[in-house]
Amino acid sequence: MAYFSKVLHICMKDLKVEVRSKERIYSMMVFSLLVMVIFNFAFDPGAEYIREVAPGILWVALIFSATLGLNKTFAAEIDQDCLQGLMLSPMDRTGIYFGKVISNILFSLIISLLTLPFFAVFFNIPLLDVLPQLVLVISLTIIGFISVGTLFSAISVSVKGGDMMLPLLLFPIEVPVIIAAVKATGMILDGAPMMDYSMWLKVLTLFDVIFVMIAFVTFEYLIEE
Amino acid sequence: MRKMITNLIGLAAASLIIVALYMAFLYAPTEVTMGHVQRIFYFHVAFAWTSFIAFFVTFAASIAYLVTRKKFWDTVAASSVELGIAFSCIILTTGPIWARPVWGAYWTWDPRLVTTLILLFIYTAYHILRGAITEETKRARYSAVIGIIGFLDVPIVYFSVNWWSRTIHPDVIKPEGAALAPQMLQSLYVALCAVTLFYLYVLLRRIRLEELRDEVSELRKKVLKES
Amino acid sequence: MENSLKYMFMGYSVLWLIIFTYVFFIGKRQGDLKKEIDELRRIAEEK
Repeated sequence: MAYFSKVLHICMKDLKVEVRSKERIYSMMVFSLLVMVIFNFAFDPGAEYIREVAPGILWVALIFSATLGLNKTFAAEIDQDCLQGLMLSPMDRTGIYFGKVISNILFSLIISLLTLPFFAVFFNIPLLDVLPQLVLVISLTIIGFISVGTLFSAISVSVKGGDMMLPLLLFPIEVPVIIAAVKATGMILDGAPMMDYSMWLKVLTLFDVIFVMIAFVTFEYLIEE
Repeated sequence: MRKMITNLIGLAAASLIIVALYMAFLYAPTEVTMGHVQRIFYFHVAFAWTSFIAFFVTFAASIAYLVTRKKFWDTVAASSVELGIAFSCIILTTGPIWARPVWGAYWTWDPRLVTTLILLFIYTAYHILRGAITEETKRARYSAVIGIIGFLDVPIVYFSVNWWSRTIHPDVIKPEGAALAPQMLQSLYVALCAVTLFYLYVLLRRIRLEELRDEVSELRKKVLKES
Repeated sequence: MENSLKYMFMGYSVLWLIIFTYVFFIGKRQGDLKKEIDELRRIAEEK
């Protein structure tokens, strides 16, 4: 219980910083919109096939903006040597990880929910009926993406040219998550029953469980100096 | 002593490769539908198998490093990755060359192709990461974590790509018995042994290289201190 | 079928090209390092 409240403290700290500066949410949101607008030019938005490529566009926008946010996870801690302070605090190191994971998941979830209405309008796709299913898929995907992403951002922040390293390390690992997310979203938008895409939900859940556990075990090795 | 063993393994690998080449070209019969191009198969599969071993060795060595903190394991992991990358490049070039006359296209988004490609991406990133970190223990720790995560990701990548696209890749060795002529199977086994030995030989050479590199930096420090 | 032979030839050429390039670079790096070690040893002794 004490562990949980410490995790919550780390998370609240990040949220507080964000509420004050609004730097991360702001740039993530603009970026996510920008990606969709650019795809709008790449594909003819009025065309028939837009429904087939729409899930891909949505996920490229969400994943890229999430990566942008991940790059900032530990950046602020390094800037003023705050990581030292965090590590000196009387708590399990994994608590830092989970605090950061939760705050990152919240950021990405907020961005996703704000992106959805624009997505619906830009590509003329009715979302309201399938919103709960869509939010479920988005949540599972974000958990999988952020759990590994936060781990890797601890690596990339202390490497020179690290913000370039992060997507390079992260994207290939996340291939199963991205496939599952795009497939499930496509089926949901087509109005398919849950039976059809339950397999992809299982893939997402499996990935989340496995990699949260691995991250839990390996995080301590990343910040020990 | 170790040098002698390395050389012996190298010699064994070289001779076995010659035997395997003989078997692939002359001993094994020409495949009826694919023709001569099918002779790529023996080495293609052998390298595919060995690259998987190489990445597994990296995985195991990464765990061993995090547990024991011995520099040797980091060296093994780094060396094995390089071989795995080289071998993956071989699979990803010989595969499409074989596929062109058989399937009519160099590239298909077949699960095994895609998985190998993703594997190549994962371990290339690993390799780039190593190059970007100068501090030794930090480099070892970080790459060990990537080495572990990357390998555990492989089955998930494979299954999700498999569900994403149904396969047309030939399943040569099926559980209910091989669909190959006995001479072909023998050639395959010899090629497997040959390439595995070759992997072992280059791995030992590569580890030696890393040790020489450490020796150089040590000597440099010494010289600088004295001057 | 002669087409098939051409592709077989291509496949094996690329295969050995990659192998020999890699092994060549390992050998070269090893040679360079050995030279450097000798050089450093000589400098160390001269002092």
